[in-house]
Amino acid sequence: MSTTSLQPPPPASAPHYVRFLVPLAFFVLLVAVLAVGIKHSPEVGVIQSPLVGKAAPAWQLPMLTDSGRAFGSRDLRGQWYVLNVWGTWCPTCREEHETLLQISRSTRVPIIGIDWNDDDTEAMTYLAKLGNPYGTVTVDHDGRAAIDWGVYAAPETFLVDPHGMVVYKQIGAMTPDVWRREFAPRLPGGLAAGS
Amino acid sequence: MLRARLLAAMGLLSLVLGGMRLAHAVDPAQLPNPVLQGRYETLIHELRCVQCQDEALADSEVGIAAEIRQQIRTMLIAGKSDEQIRDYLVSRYSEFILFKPRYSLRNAWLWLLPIVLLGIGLLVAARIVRARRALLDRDSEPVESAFGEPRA
Repeated sequence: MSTTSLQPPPPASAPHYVRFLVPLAFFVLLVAVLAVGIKHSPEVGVIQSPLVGKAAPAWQLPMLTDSGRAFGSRDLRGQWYVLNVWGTWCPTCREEHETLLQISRSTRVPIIGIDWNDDDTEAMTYLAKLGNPYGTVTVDHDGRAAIDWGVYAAPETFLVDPHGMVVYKQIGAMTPDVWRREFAPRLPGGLAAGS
Repeated sequence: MLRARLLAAMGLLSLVLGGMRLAHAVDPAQLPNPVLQGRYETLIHELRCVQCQDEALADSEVGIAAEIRQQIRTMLIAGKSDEQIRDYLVSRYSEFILFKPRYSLRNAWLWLLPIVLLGIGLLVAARIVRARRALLDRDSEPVESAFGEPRA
């Protein structure tokens, strides 16, 4: 009796089980919040692009093979294209190069390259040596287009539809698996054929 | 021989100096007027380096950070407001680029929840204090009347 004497008697109005229900409700709420948070949290270090589902930025850059000529969104209006941001300084770009070559051989969607922060001569040597998967390669020396595309680490690969909307963005290396799972199903059958 | 040594020394010196320059001035560029420079300094400290992510743009030597700083300078010179510059970068890199998240309807609960929890805590505390005070009053009564009836 003496040990319990400091405990206030349970209030008459609240039945016993309420004492259980309130903490239980809080617990369930906490679990729900954490579950949603864990499920929606992106991989550490990956910035989800706000551009996906929105219009791609209007861009225009000099071409690698002919720096006097410009190439950009205006030349690509009305067609699907894959935009790949790369550089010869980027080891992961080298890793994905073979996959890009495979895609360029087996599909009909053009791969457009933005050679970012690179030396033009080195880029041409690189493509001559390893093969060129790109329909057109443009060069971005000061990162202006890269920033406009929300690029933060090469390689990054975008899928753009004929209305100029960004349909998908791949951060990191393109692999045959990523192509099959994320890119090919979003393309009209004729373009993705053979992949 | 002497000449070769001199050349080597000069080479070493230029290496050291070059290294020092790299280590020091993350940003050698100066904007044309101090007001712009001040706004620039503030902006690059409140924006995150998108590649290194735990550093501010101001502290990062990564290429993309330098390019974004250059972009900010260009926009400042073009007369863009701080908010326009923030909006532009958020539209490209998401709100992740802001060290301080924006107050919005979507994350309002995050700001309000602590206040609500504090309120609940105060209510519970008040109830307990009241119950114990009631107990204290009964303390002066004879033991029989306070605890005489057996509990159900």
